Amino acid sequence: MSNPATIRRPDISLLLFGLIALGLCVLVVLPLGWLGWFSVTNDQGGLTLANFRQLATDPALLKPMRVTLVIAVASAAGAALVAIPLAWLVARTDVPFRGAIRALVTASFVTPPFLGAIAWELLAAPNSGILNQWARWLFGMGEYDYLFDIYTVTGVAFCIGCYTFPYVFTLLANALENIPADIEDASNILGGGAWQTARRITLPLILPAILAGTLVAFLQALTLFGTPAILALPSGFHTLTTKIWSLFQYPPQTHLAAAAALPLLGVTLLVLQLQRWLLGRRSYVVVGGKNSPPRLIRLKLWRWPAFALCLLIMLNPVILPYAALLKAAVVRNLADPLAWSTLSWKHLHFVLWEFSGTRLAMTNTLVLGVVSATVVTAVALVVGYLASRRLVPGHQMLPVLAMAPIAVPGIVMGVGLFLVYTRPPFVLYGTLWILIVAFVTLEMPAGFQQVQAALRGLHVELEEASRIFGATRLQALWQITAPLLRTTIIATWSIVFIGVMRELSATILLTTSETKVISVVIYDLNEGGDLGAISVMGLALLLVTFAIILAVNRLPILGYRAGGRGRPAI
Amino acid sequence: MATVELQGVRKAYGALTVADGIDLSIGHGELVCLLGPSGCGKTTALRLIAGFIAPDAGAIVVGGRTLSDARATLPPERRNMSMIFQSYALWPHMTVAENIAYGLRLRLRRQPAAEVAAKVARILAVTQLEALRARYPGELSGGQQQRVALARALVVEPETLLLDEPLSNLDTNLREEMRFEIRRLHDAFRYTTVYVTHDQLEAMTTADRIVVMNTGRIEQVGSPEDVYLRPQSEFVARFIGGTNILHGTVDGGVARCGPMTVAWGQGAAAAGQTAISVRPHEVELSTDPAEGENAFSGTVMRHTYLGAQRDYLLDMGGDITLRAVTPLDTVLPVGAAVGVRLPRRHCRALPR
Repeated sequence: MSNPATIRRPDISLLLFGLIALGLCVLVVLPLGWLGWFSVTNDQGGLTLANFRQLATDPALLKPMRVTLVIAVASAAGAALVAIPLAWLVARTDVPFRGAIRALVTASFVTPPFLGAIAWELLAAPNSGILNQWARWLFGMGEYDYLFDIYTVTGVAFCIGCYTFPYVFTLLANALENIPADIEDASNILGGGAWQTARRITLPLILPAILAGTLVAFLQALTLFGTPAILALPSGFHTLTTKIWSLFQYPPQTHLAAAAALPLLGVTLLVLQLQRWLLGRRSYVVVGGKNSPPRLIRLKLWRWPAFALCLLIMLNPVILPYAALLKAAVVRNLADPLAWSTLSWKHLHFVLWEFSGTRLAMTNTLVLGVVSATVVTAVALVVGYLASRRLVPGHQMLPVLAMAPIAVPGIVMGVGLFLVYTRPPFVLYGTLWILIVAFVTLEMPAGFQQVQAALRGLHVELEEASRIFGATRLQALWQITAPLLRTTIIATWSIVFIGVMRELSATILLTTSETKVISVVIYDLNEGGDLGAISVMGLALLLVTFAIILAVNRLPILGYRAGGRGRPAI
Repeated sequence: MATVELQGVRKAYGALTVADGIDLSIGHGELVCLLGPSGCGKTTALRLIAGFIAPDAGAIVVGGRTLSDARATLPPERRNMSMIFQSYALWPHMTVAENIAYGLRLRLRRQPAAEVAAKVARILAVTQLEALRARYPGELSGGQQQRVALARALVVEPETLLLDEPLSNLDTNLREEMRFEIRRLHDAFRYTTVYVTHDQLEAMTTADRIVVMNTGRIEQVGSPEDVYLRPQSEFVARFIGGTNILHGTVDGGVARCGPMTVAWGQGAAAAGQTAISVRPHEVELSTDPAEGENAFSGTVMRHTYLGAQRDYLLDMGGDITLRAVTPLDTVLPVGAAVGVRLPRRHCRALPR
């Protein structure tokens, strides 16, 4: 054969590339484009700046913005204050039960914030709150006196912080664990004492992680809908997200809502840029040959007091709320004390058999979760592969497109998608499709990050070796790459699925009576005050979440030890 | 087995030319080492031969068939080659036996499983891996992984065997052992082999012929003795074995290098500028002033005791320094004036 022949046939990867790039563009550009357009037009379709003028002058909008900012700053600061000692204790000391403490942090990480807020209603509502009842009994206070009121700005900030501190914790604990003992030894040997070493070496190394984590906590607080909707609305004040939501209530003011969503987008972009600058300015990947694991500091006498502190911290996001939900789920009436005589299957029965919304919501959640998780995983895999193997020209664009939605808060995406898909040519509102589009878009960055990290760790020679021994590209993918990515694929899928289950900010704007999901049903039930039923559903949601996490982390990895060691997959 | 020919192969990434017109012909059953510093284009050449990348110009012809040219490239899986990768690229989800059988199963699709099993058993015996056949790569030491990679590459009986720095991840002792092992296996199987390395000792021990590469070009091709004894360029002289280079101008059959006038006994000087190479261990030192041809005087700047010999750095005046490696009995203190003789027959004039 003198002609090597047959190779440069039209490449299907190019076609695939084009389709995916187009799809990713549509996912982000379409809703944001409409958002921008709506913010500068009025109901008649004429260009106007009136929406922004109203945004800047109307006290009904200005006050929520101020409140939002106060809540975001306070909760982020609080989250950092709590996460720093906790992360240090868990990562660098011999405090007992570090694994359990970590598990509790993971639990608060995956607890839907709206569920936490409802649990804290049970705990710290001024009259019926369990903690206030205890306080009355303990301190002999009057019948209408109370110690805690969760329906306040402080209450909202506290409750948000409970579920955003894991962002700071995770980044910080990783940073602390990545500082090898050598680097601190090096400071000691040059004459730096423990205090000097901590101040001059350790702190500068972890500071970016602290700041970056705090910024993420700030962003989450800024754009969260569930918690303020549950805790702020009953006492009559708004945050920006609840205000945007209220603008969709009758009569809808979509143009104003679009304008109100833009500041959230702007701040998010700004903060993400800042975070990137913080983390990327210097490379904090410690350079060097053999990394010794960090040395654990022996707390000696302080071990158990330190553990008590950890426990005290974890009471707030997990232990107390879960206990409150559990109690509410099993007693007949909310005010009943927990006793054999008050136990009842009433709520479980109601949720499972009587309440018509349950089955529909469960089916919808399941369908949405499965479809979104599958789509995100598949697209993330293809994009990650094309980009990491540089298979197509312009491959650098794909990761950027896949990561772009990270800058779009859920509620902003909700507004944008609502605007796009309530009018021709795409009338998806009222169907599950609009929710699929929303979840796929919102979860794409998380999914893509997982896949990208895994592909980076997969040496390209593994695939090349398969090629040279006679496998075609597809055979190599199927026989080598796919099995090696199995854990990643399952983990990515699960992360997206869990994300879909706990999403409320975008969902609340896009759902209709036929497309309710569990998070929305819980929110609706809360408005009706049916906390027993909520507790049952919430616990079920948590149960499914934990089951998935456990399953993924226990996955047998087929003798492939290299990937099995170390950090859990989620 | 087949001949491998590279004909004017060129490859560039943007402005960076990594293969700049490579011409090379490798015979049946020959083991050729591509030797050079990192970034010299040797790995690119290997990957071009394997078909992982396509040349911008030129052709790669194996056994009379053009496998790559600027228009089309036969994919690696259809080249009947095998390769040992720098990272070994053992598949972590397959056992040792599965790793080895993988290529056989792809290539002997119509053959009975018994034949695959027999071949795997044979190669496991040859490479002394029988005890490890059910292990996963993560459970093996570096040397064992290396042997699995070797077994996996040999078992398919390739027309061409490619090795990409196969020993660079091993420690020194094991590396020396494996050098001889690779040569032994080559003598046994006689596959046409292209071996990429940056380690000249590795190349010297294993290769029939060494191809010294630099900046995407071939500097010199020859037997290990050839490239060491008869370097054609300053680069080759420096890279293979290390040497002293004296730059100077040719003036009536001698080279004037600063204060030194050097007569050479081998090589050919270009008219005008030239470079004279003399290996450190050919430099003769004495406490008395040296006399006669190529005799100079210098000062000892540094002395290092190397166990089997001594290593001196000499100041020859006029900003010229020379390295000399001497027997142990030549003992000279730092600062001492010393007679230096460069035997004419060991002074080589380099054309480039």
